[in-house]
Amino acid sequence: MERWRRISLITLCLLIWVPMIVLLAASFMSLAEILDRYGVLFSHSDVPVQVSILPTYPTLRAYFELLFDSPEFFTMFWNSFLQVAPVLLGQLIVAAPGAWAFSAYEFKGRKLFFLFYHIVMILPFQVTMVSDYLVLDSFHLLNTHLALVLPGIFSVFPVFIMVKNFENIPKALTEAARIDGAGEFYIFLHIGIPLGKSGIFSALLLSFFEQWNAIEQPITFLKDKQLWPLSLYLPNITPAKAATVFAAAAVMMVPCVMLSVLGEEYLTEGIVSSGIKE
Amino acid sequence: MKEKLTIQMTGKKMILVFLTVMLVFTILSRALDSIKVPKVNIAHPQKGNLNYEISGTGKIEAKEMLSVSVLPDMKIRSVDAFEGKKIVSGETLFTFQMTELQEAYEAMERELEKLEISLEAEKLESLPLPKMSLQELAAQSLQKAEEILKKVQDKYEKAQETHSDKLAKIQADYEADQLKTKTRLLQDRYDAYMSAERSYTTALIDQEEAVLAARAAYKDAKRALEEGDGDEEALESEVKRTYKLVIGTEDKWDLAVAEANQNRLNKKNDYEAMKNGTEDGTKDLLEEYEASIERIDQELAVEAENLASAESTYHDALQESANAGINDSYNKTAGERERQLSVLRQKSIALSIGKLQMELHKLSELIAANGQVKAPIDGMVTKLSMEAGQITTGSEAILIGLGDLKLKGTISKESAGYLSSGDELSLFKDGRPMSGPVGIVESVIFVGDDEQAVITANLTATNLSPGAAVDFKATSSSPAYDYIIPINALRKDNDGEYLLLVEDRKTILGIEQIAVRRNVTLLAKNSSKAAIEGGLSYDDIVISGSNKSIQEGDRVRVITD
Repeated sequence: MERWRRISLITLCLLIWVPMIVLLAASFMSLAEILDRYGVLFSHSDVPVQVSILPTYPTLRAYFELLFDSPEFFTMFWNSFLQVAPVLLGQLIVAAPGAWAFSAYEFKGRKLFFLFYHIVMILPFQVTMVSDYLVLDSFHLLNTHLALVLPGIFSVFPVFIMVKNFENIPKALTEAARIDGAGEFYIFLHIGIPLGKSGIFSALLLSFFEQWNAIEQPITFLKDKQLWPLSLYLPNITPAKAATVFAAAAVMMVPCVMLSVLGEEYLTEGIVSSGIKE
Repeated sequence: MKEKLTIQMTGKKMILVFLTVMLVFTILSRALDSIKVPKVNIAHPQKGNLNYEISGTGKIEAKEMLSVSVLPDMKIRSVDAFEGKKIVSGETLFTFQMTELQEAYEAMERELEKLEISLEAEKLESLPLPKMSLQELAAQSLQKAEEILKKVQDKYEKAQETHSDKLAKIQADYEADQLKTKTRLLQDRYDAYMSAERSYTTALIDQEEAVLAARAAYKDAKRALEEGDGDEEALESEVKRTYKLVIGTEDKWDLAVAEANQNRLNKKNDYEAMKNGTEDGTKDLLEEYEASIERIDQELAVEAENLASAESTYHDALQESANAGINDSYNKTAGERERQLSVLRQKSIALSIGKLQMELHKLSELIAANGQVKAPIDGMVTKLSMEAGQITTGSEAILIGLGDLKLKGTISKESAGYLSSGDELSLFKDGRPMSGPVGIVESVIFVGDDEQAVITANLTATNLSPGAAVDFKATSSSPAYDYIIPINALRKDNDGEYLLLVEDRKTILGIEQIAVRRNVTLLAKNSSKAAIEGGLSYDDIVISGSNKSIQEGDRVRVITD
């Protein structure tokens, strides 16, 4: 009985993998087969999509074409890298101290400020798009990498995640450090960051996923195609390069998968701890 | 814990490897792409002019032409002139056949005579004729109708009087006759009644006597039979006969008495009816009386009809008299118009006569010159479309060119825009430049929707033959333009003309040269350059050619020679 239940659960879990399997299978298909099966996605034909998890004639041509004959792909890849890495670094510098302040100190208006953070966090991009655009325009930051980096650095979502994590650190520990003569910055560096590591990592991981896959922000704030990130490579593909779409998607997925595997423990801990009260 | 650290280390290594691999492929793909990037030639916008060379083909023509008219329906005996021949005044151009000229002369004379007769007839027709006006005629009719009406009225009045008299007499006669007739009729009916009464009494007596006689005969026969006095059969026969006689006599006399009685009763009724007044007895008299009345009424009615007719005639005459004035006025206007028309017709005929006389005069001169048509002036025959033996239609062209020459040719409308009056043309014959004659543009005319324009130029030399075809060329320079680029750099699509400029773009992988679209407005162009405007600067790098097809946004590589 236990065995059958396990098999059925595994089967259900495998269903989650179907899109990824389809994507990987398609990345090994020839252009002709891609257009036959998925031509409607590229406005090439009216034939409905014919999903297959095995290519008829597997080929590495799409990967070859992507890696050797698509310089714009790498331009966009490094654009993404350039736009995401500073955001994560910035969040580490800005969001972590901010979250520590909310969790470690009692000050007047703390709850009110945190409420503002809540409100800003729940607003979708479409709501803040126009005001963001006007602000970036007034600072002459439109059509630059900073148009994506700066709003990302000052995102409130990591702060929210980190606050919940820092609040799990026992107050007695920081009090003891103070009695022993430790300064506030020292306490943050040597107690806050090590103990809140999981929360910081989970926040940074989630931010990475958000920034890596962002579409609306680059389309809105970046006019020059030379500045576009990898997330905009897929929507701009033409039927002639349709085969590279799935290969590009597979390659694009690699960093996310690797970071997920690498930070799985921190991600789980951080999310769990942010949802548990002391 | 150790396992966890191992996984983290492996993950970090994988990320580093991934980034390294991506970096390597980035370099490789860039290197490969560099080979494929389109190579472009460039140019910078410059100030300057556009030079145009206009060429075309034209025909030499005389500036002034004299047309020699040709008589229609004549036969050409010989043609002495030809196109391009220089002629002097009085020189024979061609000669008509004399026979046709003579016939035409005679026909024209007859025609002239007919026209003169027509003119005389028209003059006669226009003379006014004496006549009485409608108003006068109407007045006469009215007077006559009035007289007739008066007579008829008198006659009618008399008829009315006669009618009254006759009516009175008829009534009196009728009443008298009615009284007489009634008295006489009563007496007659009484007499008839009495006569019938007597006949009836006589019939009764005669009946009685006859019946008694028959019965007596029967009694005698019967007694004889009973007594046997004679033959029994004869006696019996006699008895039967006498019996039948009795029966027959009784029936006969019963009928006669009944008839007499009936006649008596009828006469009695007639008499009593007359006597009691239930029957007049003067019906015929009344019918006669009514017929008499009707007759005299009819006589009066005839007179009344005559009177009505006379009155109607009189009123018609009155109306006619009123209308006669209007009709007289209309007739007068119409007559005047007809007279004026007649005068015009006379003038027209007179003009035709004049024209015909002139033609006749010319024809007589032509006949006197043995049918030879001569040049009226010195010049050159530029057109002559006739030949010996041909019957003329009158539309044959004989043109004599006089004085200076001109060139008439066509050029494209686009080229025509660069030429103006006063520009100089170089002339070429069979591809070689002609020394001496030069054309000065007189006019450039755009003709309708054609893609061609007609150019006319005065020629400085006169030793050319009209009708000859020559080539011509002219050079023209446009005003100065701010931005001139090679014509190859100008591109066009549905949104209009545009250029592709080379711009440096900073990317994460270094500086790239990108083709950028710049919409421009074309001001003018020649075969190699174009003048444009549209926010350019002299530092802009314009793509004037490439080894591959390029479009906006493509990476390019500038070739510097």
